[in-house]
Amino acid sequence: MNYDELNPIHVANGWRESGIECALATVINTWGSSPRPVGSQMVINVNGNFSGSVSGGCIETSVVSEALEVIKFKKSKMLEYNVTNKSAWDVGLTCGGRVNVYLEPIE
Amino acid sequence: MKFSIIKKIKSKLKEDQFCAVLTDIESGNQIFIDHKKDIAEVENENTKKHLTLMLGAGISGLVKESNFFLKVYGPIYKMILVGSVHISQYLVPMSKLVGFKVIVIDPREFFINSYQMPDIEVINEWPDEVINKIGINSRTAVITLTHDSKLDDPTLITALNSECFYIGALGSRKTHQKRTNRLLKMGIKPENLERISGPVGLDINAQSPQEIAVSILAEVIQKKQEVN
Repeated sequence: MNYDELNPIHVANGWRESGIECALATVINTWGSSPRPVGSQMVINVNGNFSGSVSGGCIETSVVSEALEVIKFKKSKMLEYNVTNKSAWDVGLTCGGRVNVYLEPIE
Repeated sequence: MKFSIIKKIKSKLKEDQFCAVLTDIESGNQIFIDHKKDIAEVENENTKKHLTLMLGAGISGLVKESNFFLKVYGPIYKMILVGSVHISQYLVPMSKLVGFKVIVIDPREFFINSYQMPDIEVINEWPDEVINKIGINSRTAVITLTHDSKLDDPTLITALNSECFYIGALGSRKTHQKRTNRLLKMGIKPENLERISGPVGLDINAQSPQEIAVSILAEVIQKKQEVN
């Protein structure tokens, strides 16, 4: 496996070269026990496929659905996620952190 | 982000170079930063100061007292191993999995043929000459595994003269003491010698080549995070 090929930037480049629309998600701020550090990135395409991560799997599902909107309306968006204790199906960070994710279309 | 910026980042990463993207998170405007002079269009002097510090240290994050977010993109982390030895057979695949680009150098054909490794081409040349060609940057780790001072010492000197983030040398405490004395005689400054981790690896009481590979990789990861 060549790790470099999994770099979200390379994945995004490959998708765009094949004409597939996509969005880039970046962790821009964290508080407490947030799983991935500031600067972590994930790319999401119009078909709902994604690569990279912005948490330990806690918020990726939500980021993907938000990304589909961002791709559709071509407008960047700031997402904020907090800790959740309500139910396992809730979107949130189970380890007790808070994270801001910046979502932008790749145009 | 513009597709053209993605392409620029990709080509910088291919050349093993650093670059960055500055985003105004209010307006969505972005600047691609190749050289420090690219921040000239930032108006606020204070913001410029913070940016210069972050770019120098390679740190991504929100820029203090501004609406900017800086994302630094850097070359892939490299691990240069000198010695096609038993430990390398395990250290190579482990390090590749963790995300390192691994390069093995050994001028001794006999060792290359004996300790074969899948998916890696061992460079059959003298290490100090090749290393300068490959290039060492702040995202490179250099580890000597041959126990042969003819190969290890010149490699260590080359590494000590570079900005690599990790230098390790296999060998017992006694061997390392002897090595340190040799390097001192060659004019290396004592404070510079402290950069060499010897005996190499975290002390987890590793015995087998597999276990030693784990201890070396663990120490490299620890050092990488310290620097960041």
